[in-house]
Amino acid sequence: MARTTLIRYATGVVPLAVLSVLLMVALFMMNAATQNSELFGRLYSLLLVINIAGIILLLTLILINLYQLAVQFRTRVMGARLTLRLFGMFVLLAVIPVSVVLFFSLQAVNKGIDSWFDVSTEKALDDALLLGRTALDAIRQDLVKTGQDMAVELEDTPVKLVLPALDFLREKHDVAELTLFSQNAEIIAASGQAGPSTGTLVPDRPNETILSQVRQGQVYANLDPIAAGDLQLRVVVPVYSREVGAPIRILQLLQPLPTRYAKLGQSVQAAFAEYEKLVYLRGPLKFGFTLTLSLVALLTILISIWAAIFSARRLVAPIRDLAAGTHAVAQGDYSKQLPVQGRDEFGVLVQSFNDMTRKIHNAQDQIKRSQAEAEMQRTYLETVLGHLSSGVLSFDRRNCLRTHNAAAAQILRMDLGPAEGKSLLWLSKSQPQIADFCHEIRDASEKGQAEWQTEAILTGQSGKRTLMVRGTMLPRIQRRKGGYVVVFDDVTALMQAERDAAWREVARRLAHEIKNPLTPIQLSAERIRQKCMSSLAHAEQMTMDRATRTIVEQVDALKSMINAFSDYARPAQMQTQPMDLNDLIRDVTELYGGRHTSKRPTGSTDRNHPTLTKPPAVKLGLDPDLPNITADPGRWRQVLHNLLLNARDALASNERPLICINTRLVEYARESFVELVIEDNGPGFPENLMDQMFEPYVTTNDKGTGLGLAIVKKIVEEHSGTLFAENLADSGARITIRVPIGETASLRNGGLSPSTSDFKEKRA
Amino acid sequence: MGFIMRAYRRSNWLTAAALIAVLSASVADAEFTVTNVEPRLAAEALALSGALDLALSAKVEEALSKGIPMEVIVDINLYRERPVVWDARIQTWVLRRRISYHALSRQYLLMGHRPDAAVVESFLSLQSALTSMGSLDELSFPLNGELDSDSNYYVEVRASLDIESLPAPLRPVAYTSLAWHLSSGWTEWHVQR
Repeated sequence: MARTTLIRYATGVVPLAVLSVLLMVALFMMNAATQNSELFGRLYSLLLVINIAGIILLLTLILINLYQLAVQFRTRVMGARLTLRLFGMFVLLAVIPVSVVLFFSLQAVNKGIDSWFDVSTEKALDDALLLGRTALDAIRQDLVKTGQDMAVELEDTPVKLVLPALDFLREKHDVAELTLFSQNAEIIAASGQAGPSTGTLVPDRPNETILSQVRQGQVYANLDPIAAGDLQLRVVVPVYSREVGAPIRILQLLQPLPTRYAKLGQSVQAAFAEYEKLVYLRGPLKFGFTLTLSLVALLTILISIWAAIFSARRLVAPIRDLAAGTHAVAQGDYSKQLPVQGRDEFGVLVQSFNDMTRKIHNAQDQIKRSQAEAEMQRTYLETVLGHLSSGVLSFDRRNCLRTHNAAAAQILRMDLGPAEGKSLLWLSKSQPQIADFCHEIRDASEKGQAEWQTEAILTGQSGKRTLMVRGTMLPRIQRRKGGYVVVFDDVTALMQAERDAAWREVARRLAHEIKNPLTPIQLSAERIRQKCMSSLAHAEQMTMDRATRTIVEQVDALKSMINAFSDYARPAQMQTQPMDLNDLIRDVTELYGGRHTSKRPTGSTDRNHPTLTKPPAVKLGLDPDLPNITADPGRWRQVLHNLLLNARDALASNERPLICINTRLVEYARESFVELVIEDNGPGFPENLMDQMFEPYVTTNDKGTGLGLAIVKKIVEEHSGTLFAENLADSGARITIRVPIGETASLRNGGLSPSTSDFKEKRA
Repeated sequence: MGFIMRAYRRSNWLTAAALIAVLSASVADAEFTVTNVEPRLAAEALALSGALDLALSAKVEEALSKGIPMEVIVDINLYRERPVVWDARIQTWVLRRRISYHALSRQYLLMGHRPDAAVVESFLSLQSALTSMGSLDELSFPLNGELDSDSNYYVEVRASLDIESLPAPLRPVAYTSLAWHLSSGWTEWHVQR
């Protein structure tokens, strides 16, 4: 945390800006100090240290920034490459001009400083100094001579008279101050002018060097600078005593320079000293200026580098944001909004980007809502379609299947999933059993009618089925031809039921209308025979007998036929009970097995005469685990009789007649069925009768009533079962009956409504 | 390995010693030395007398002869000895003495060596000026309070050239050159009662 804060401060704008400003101020002050400013001169060293330390700090901060940039570049942070490129460009733009300026500035400064000094000035100053010295020397020599004269005069002056003598001499020679010292530098007497400049109580004492010089007999004469820049001449001479062995005394003359001389001398001294100082300081001054300029240049470069980093970052920030934004949009995040900074072109760009993403986001939301709505509609439609009993298919304009419902797959008895997106042609080729259906749809759709209706025949193992197909063109979408939707129903059972109902009506009327006159006819014929036989001749009697017998027999035959119709037309009166179908099959086949002749069993209306045939072999394949079904055993016995008789009749001309009876438990459409299959190896059903096999009066047997299979169908349907007939591939016929296990309990008694029958058959 | 390390260390020492020798040779004749200081306690004052040997380096002499005034600072610290903890600094004084060259009179002017600050003394030779500059003749420093009569006192004395008093352009040169670093270092002198 602390480290992050530190780095944020180190890389922030404010500290660098403050530091830069401070350093600039310090440099300004240092520059002023270099130019001998009194104010900053005292702070020069401190300023120098502050500047160097500040520059080191600035350099450190910039290095931290650069390190961060390098890390970002290495980790491929978005915008780092551009930042570095801009940074490099800015640095080049800053460093080159600053370096050029520095170079020429240094040249100019060095040459400028050198130009301050020239030989003539120096010579003039030297000469002025020499002149000054010469002029002062003359005065000094005069004072020395005066001093020596005074010394001579004082040689024999007794101590008591020294002071007046000094006063006298001073006034005589117009000297400012006269002091007589003993050999030990003790003041013997002093005489001075009264005045502000000589107002000191203690006379000025020559230093020990001078005194020792004078003690050795030398004369000291020199110009002494005194306080406040004034100059005075000091002459110190020995005063010898005329007495032998007496110690010498020392006389000091102090004479301020005349004002004019003093000013001139002071001026020459000041100018010379200043010039000498400047000459001497030329090197350090150059060094100082070079240092200052270099520091200025370095600081400028460092501030430029920092400004380059800052500017590059600032410039790249919106670009980096934009790049991140576009990346997010590319990833599908349309809710990305970027911070708008400034009103420049970048700000406009970012604003446009934000508008764009907002609109895309709104559009995306709208699309999602529409999709959800469409999905809901689709689900709703699918639910509706799924619960329709009619099959629904929709095709696009290229006759390709788009959607289907469950009922369609059930009716067509195929999985329509793989067919989605496939054309009708593909469907008809891959599923030959619905080729006619596909053909009808294609024909109807190509006519371009808005609505159409047709019938299609499906051929399959369960026989032919009739579909009622209705088509409707879908509306055009954006000038493109829409597809069409096809709704179809399996009307086979309905038609069958209608036919069955018609036949039952016929049977009932036959039974009613025909059976009634038969008994009078039979009785009348027997009466005619009885009454008229005796009165006829023998030959006529024979004819009469044959005729009346024929009438009676045919009436019997008619009666049998009418009874059969009655049975067919009569509502079922079933007595159901749990029944083992396998046992019943074994019982019934016992009757047929091994017998050469067979009479029509009870309930069978097909056979009136015994037929001499080779008994067919009966082969049973019964499922031992077959569950019981709830059924009427008597009616099922009739079913088996009718089927076996049919098979036997079909096998009449067969060398090796064989009937196979198989039972098994099957699962179909999540329901359990008991399946009974009877096969023979006869010639099979005529193809032209396949779709009418179970209708009354459909028979290939001249002697049959054609009601055998119709009754079988009726009984099976009364037990909620289904049946269908088909021919075997090589030779033979097969009839398959399926009875639901769970449904046999709710047997339909009598009037079976066609619609319910339809439903059951479809389910099967 | 040990031999190499030893050789390396030895060579380092040799290098350092050579460097020190060269530096000291270059400034050997230019050194400030506190030759003698005799501090003693007078009435409410510290009396000090002694001598400083102020030898200037050639560069400093040259600068002086070119009219650059030099200031010598004499720092004097009075300490009271304490047996356990560090010694207590009682008082500090700073003497500033200035020497400059007067081209017109060809004399060296000395200021600040007399109690009267305005007094300017001139010397014909540099040596005599420096000798006078380095003389501590009966200086008296007033004490702020009375000193403990039972304790021992000592003074620390250091004489050094004040680079800060140089003209600004000369300061960077002076700071970066050993020839300008003239200092005696601290010397301790027992205070006599």
